[in-house]
Order: sequence, then structure tokens, then C-alpha cells
Amino acid sequence: MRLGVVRGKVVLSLADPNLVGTRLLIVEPITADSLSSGTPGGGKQLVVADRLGPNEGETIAFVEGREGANPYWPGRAPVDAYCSLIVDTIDYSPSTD
Amino acid sequence: MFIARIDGSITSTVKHKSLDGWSLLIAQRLNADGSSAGEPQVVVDPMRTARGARVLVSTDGDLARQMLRDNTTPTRLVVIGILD
Repeated sequence: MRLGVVRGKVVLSLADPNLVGTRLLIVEPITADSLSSGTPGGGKQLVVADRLGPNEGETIAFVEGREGANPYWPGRAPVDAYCSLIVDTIDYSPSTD
Repeated sequence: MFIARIDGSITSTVKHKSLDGWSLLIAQRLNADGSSAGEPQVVVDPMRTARGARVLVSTDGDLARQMLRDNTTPTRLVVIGILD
């Protein structure tokens, strides 16, 4: 899972029926440099499926790949990125030895 | 699988139910020369890995589903070893 900051959301007028009840977040992934500098972000933004409800500006962790569709099991959904959790605290101190 | 250095940890209250009770660490993927490769990743740690440790991380979603005992888990990365 990468870390990301919620920057917005997407609303569809017409959607795959399996996506009913799923929010679509616009998420900016957090780079290592940005995490050290205290202004998290910096990655290429993407759309992440969500059923937890983070607000704009909150930090999440999201899974990518076919595991993004796991929460819909045994159903199927056209999802390749999914919000696994909302972050409360980050304790980050990279050791560059 | 990839090699990573443990650079931190996170806490989370609101999360997928399958992640309840698991330790979640921040892992930095590394190249052979020790330089960073890509963005930090949150990994599930079943072995109480120390900060700064170098670990082997599995990207196998099947393993994550089996370990967390939940077919619906939105999780893929698991610490499966600590480097000597």
C-alpha cells in the first residue's frame, strides 16, 4: 500500500453497477522526500475506490492491483486501487546509513 | 518480493476490518546498492520488525489473504523475512 493525501472526489453520472455505494477519491501519493519535509504529497494523482469516507486533506493508505477488488469478493468490481485505511498518525524517521 | 528498509510505522482507527490488530510499518524499497526505489509503502508486519531493519517483502495477495484470514482484505504487502 502506498500513502496518499485525499485531494478531491469523482462523481459518475453512469457507472458500472458494482460500483454503487463506492466513493471515488482523487489521491496524491506521498513520496519519501515529501514525507521527510513535512508537506506530504508529490506523486502522480490517481483515482482510488473508497468505502471508509476520508475527508479532503486526510491521509490514507491504498492498495493497488487486483487486490483492490478483494473487498467486493465474492462479487467482482472494476477496481484496481482501494482505500484500505485512514491514517491517524505517522511515525517516520528514515535511517540512511 | 523486494528488499526494503523499515523507516517508520502508522496508526489507524478507521480501516478495513481485516487489518484490525496487525502492525503496519512504513517500508522503503531498496536497490542492491541501498538507494531508495519508489515511494514508501505500508506493509503488514507479523514479526515485530525493528526500525531500520532490512526486510524481505512479499507482494503476493494470496499470502496476505491467507495470513489475515479474510478473502476481502485490500492488502498485498507482507514482511516475510529479516535480512541477515
